[in-house]
Amino acid sequence: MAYKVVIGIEIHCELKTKTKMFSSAPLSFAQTPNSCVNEVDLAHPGTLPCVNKNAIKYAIMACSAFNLEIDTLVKFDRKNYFYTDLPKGYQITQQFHPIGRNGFIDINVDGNSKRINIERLHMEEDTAKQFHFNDETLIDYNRAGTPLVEIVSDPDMTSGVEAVAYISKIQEILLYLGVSDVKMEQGSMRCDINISLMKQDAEKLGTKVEIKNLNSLSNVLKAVEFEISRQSDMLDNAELIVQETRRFDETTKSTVSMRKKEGNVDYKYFPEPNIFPIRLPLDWVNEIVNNLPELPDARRVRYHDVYALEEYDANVLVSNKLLADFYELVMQDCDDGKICANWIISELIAQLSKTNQSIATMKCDSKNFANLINMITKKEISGKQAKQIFAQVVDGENCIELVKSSGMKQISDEGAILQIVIDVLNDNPQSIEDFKNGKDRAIGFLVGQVMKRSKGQANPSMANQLVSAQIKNY
Amino acid sequence: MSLNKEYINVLAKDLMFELSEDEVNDIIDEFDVLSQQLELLQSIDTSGVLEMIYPFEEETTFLREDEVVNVISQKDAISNAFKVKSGHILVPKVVK
Repeated sequence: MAYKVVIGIEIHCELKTKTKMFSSAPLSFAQTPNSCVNEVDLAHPGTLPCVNKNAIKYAIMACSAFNLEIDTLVKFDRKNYFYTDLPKGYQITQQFHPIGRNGFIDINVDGNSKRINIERLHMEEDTAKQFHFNDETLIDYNRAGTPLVEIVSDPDMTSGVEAVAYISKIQEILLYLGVSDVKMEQGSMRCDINISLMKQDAEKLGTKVEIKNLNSLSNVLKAVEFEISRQSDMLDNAELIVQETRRFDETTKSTVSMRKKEGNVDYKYFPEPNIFPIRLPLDWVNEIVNNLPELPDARRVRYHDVYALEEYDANVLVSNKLLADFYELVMQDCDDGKICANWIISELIAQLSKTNQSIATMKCDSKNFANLINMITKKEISGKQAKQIFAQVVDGENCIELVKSSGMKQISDEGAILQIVIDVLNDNPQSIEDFKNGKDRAIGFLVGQVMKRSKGQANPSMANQLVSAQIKNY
Repeated sequence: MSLNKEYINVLAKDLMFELSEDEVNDIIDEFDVLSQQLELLQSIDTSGVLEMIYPFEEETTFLREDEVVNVISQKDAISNAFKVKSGHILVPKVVK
């Protein structure tokens, strides 16, 4: 039986501040364990939390981009639980007064736009990283206290594809805002997916299952699809779905049970007495909201309007911010947006993947790349010639010098090509005869002769035009 | 509220603590005292009194600049730990 699928997603994102949410210790990734902490992170007696201005700023930026109403009175609460990943015995979060409420983003699936409502965005602190072995656990407190935003969607999604579209849209926006690395594989962005199934005509939502441990978008898709089919089979067999947390297992490509929900855990939330309510100055909030960096959708529109790119090309570029930023740099020294986009999308991406490089690690700078594109658009070299030196250009070699040293400069001087064309025609009377007898392919042979005589440097389309025009004079 | 042995053992199990018979008894005794004190507080009439979270209901505007000011060394960070291993704090595993 086909069921109605209901999916809601909670996303935790680490903010890219210099210091922790409530302490002046630095943020870290893959540093020496327990070396990026101070007394506040370790909950030494007498220490007090102090709210990071940039973390608030980044949260405001995210709220604005997700169309959330911003609460300018910032309040924090305690979520009490006893576990080694937070030495205070509680996590400081925003249970009662999230900084943002009631927003939305629009996702695009198969060419159709769909609005996904966002219930809330709140700030909190990350926990320590723990490494579990057979009978012992190692704790690294470096991550404890890292600023996080948690973004909670309404249960508006109905398929794995929509879930992926939603997460990648959130990811893209946060990346363009510059507030988070949003790297799922490194854990700076983590998604929990709540999924339940109900009969088409049912009014009550089915029992929800939460899926954790999703470290890539492709795993999100696999996990959701697996879970839909698992729950469908259970409902078909009249089995009861239990409320539980499951995790995605990469090796079996399935979800496995982690723990059953035994009633709601009572975290005894209460307002954090160590942080007074903070009234954000309205002009500061407005300044942040009015100066947001360009968001990806706006950039897509601009690429279409300014560089005349098709939707597909604009999408490929914008969905990879580094690529899009590189494109913009190249376009500062380049006139043809379309040709430039083509070379980046087809040739550059392929070359980088072939040599296991990325935009960030490649040695070619934007000016050098722009020179190559300009030589192509000015017909100084042919596309074929450009491809011959492309790998070296990407490796950082100066393309102008490469063209010179390999003597491959394309001849686009009409007079020079005309002279060669006339010589070739004079030397090949049989081909002229063939052409007059209706054998059009004689033209191809003659153009080939022109290219050969010019050592491949004649502009092929000019050679073609000139041969076609001149042959009529004989 | 009375705290009996069964309930203490349920809580201990939930929190993955192992408690001896003596410890359970100690907790019950301690809780009795606490419980009496709470009952005393409970007897105070608080109707119409709003809960107070802060001594002064003042709003502030202070936010800390995002600059690294204070970091302690790994040696200091783990110096209070009962057991350490490769720069990490070592605790018994309590998850399944």
